[in-house]
Amino acid sequence: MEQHYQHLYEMLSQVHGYIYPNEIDLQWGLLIVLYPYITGLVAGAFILASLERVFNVKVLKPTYHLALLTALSFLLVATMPLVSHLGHPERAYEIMTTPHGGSAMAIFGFVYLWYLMVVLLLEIWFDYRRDIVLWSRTTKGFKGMLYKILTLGVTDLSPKTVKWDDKLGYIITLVGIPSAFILHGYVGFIFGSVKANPWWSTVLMPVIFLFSAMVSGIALVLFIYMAVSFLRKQKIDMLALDTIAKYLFYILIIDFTLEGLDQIHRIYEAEESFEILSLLVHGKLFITLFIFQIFMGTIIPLASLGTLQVYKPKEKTRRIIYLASSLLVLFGVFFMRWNVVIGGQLFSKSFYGFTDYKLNLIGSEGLLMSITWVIIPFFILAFLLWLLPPWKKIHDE
Amino acid sequence: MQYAGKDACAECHDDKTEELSSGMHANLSCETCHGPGMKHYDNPDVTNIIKPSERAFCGICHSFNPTRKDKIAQIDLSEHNVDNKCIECHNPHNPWE
Amino acid sequence: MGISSKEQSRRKFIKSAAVAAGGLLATGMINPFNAVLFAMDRPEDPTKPWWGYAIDITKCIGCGRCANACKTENNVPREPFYFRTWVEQYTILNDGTVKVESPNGGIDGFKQTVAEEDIFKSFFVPKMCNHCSKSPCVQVCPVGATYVTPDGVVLVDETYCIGCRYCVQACPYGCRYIHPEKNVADKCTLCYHRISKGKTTACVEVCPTQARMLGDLNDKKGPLVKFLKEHNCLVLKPHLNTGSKLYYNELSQEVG
Repeated sequence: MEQHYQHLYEMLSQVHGYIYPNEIDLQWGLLIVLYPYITGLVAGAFILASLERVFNVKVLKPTYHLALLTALSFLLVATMPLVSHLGHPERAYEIMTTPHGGSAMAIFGFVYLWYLMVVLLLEIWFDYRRDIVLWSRTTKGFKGMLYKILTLGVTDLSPKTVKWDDKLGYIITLVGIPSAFILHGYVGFIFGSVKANPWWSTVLMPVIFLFSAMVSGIALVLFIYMAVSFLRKQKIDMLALDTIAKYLFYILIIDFTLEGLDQIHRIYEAEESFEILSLLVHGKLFITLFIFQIFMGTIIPLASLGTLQVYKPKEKTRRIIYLASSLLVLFGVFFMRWNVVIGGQLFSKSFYGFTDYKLNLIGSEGLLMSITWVIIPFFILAFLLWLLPPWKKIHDE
Repeated sequence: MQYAGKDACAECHDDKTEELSSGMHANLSCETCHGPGMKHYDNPDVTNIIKPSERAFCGICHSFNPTRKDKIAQIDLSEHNVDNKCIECHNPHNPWE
Repeated sequence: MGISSKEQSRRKFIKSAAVAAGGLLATGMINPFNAVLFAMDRPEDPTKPWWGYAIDITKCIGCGRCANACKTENNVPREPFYFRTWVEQYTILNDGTVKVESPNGGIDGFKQTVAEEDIFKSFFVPKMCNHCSKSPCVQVCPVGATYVTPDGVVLVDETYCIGCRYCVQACPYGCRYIHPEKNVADKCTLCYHRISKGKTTACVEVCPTQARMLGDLNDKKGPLVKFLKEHNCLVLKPHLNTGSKLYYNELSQEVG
């Protein structure tokens, strides 16, 4: 407690101008920046996967299962930053037992569960069922036992049943697309509907969140596909990679346009909050917004991917550009979340001043904890790739 | 509850509230200066209420601040009778008496 | 012969859609506006109290007794980061700059550092929870831990709050904070434990200049309604449509 007060007294000396006395401490920190980032990766990866399944973009086949498993790995971790930041995590179940209908946050529990259970888990199960059954017959030991459990007793492999696997998987993917939109769109709505905060309150917020989510998800799959192929010393399917990069480019254009529109509109209308927000953007958010999010995270990838649409250098160069672009996009989208969440709390609602955000290294809301939450999904993915390797599937559907 | 309210004080100290009502401090509650009185009200013989007497205390309201304009009589604490306590000249229950 | 199953299911769909649309229209007509507008406005029973509050800026001397009494009465941590009510000093200089300050919420009083000749205008503005009738904080609470009582007071159930801080984000007036020990949302309760026993709030009790007034908005002959009638009162941030029940007399446009 004493340490906490010490930290707050220090922050008191960092205040510029006037803030309401209660505003000294930021309420939503790095953990809350992480949550939309992670669910965005999930939604984006899933939508990329669904492009293959529902819209029959066959060239994306090599990445389909990888995208699904990536989405699952990240979704499993997604709640953790949220629950760990609560004042009373032991009461977190209340959001499921007594959700308050007027609150966008209340639908979190249901949307999350729906998406996890019905969309991701079911789809992956239907897609892998045939292989799980076959693997359960041939694998010994602990792994074999896992497979037996995963079959859930449904071991029928007749052509009719297998056809049903495919049909149901298709329907679930179809349902999964709007579900993915809701999974991440509602997060944008959580911010966009707060009329008290002019940096957050815009109709475009859910849309911007969604498109930057798609961008980050596609970039993640691009990166993971290249990383996994490298680790397995497998040849990359360049057609798939080129196609993914093309989608990344197109969605990035839309994302950039939307965010640009939001700012242009704000600058043009210049309503009451304009002065303080202007100071915010040119001051405390200058580096994270202009340098990290816009220049590094959007302009450079747009320029490089755009050039590749016109001029196609050899494979190796393209791979390097894709790798760099995907990492820059992932970096940029993280800072987009940062600029929204942290940026929205740096200025006072009195419009008369600013406070500061001090990130701790340790502690439940600290940097190390946040890095842990981001790394764990990769371990989960490694486990899933060991258990359900896409490249060992006996029959491609 | 920490604050008892003026009526509660008047139950025993009606002489003071009487005195108060005739002066400039008529609209003050006893607890504005004397602080929370519920504990004293519940146990008057055991718990005492505070009786502030320092200059700085009166200055909380009466020290000069241009923002206060003419809403209240103000003095410069560092100039006005610096060697005396305010209450030596001003009866807190009837300051202009 | 007869209708094909496809035809049948199509008819069924149109029928159920029509019923749904008709039902919606009917409900809408019974209560045309309440069906659409969010949350509650004036309570149904005009004989029950509906708490409101008025602050007369022409009377406030910035002594901070209110902020001090509030912390004492409600056991609010004394550190300068948690206030259920606080006072702001506005100083508008001749060159147009606006200076706002609230050292320790005004509890220790104020110093005026701007030279008198440079001051265009200055005044004190006490702040607190506005107990909004269309409260955005109540709207966003995911578990319903914060709510409005039938007599118009916005409260937090500290045994139920999960500490998600959404309400703190949603309040346009900055009157909420997270209690450092209880880890739940906290704010002005309008001294509910006092007003439901016939006493007044601690802040009103100790205000030396009667700048603060608690009252019943349903009592058309009462002092609060009389005050509203006789003075030009404004609420903070009216464009946000919070239904604030905290009325300020002589509120100047610089106040944020």
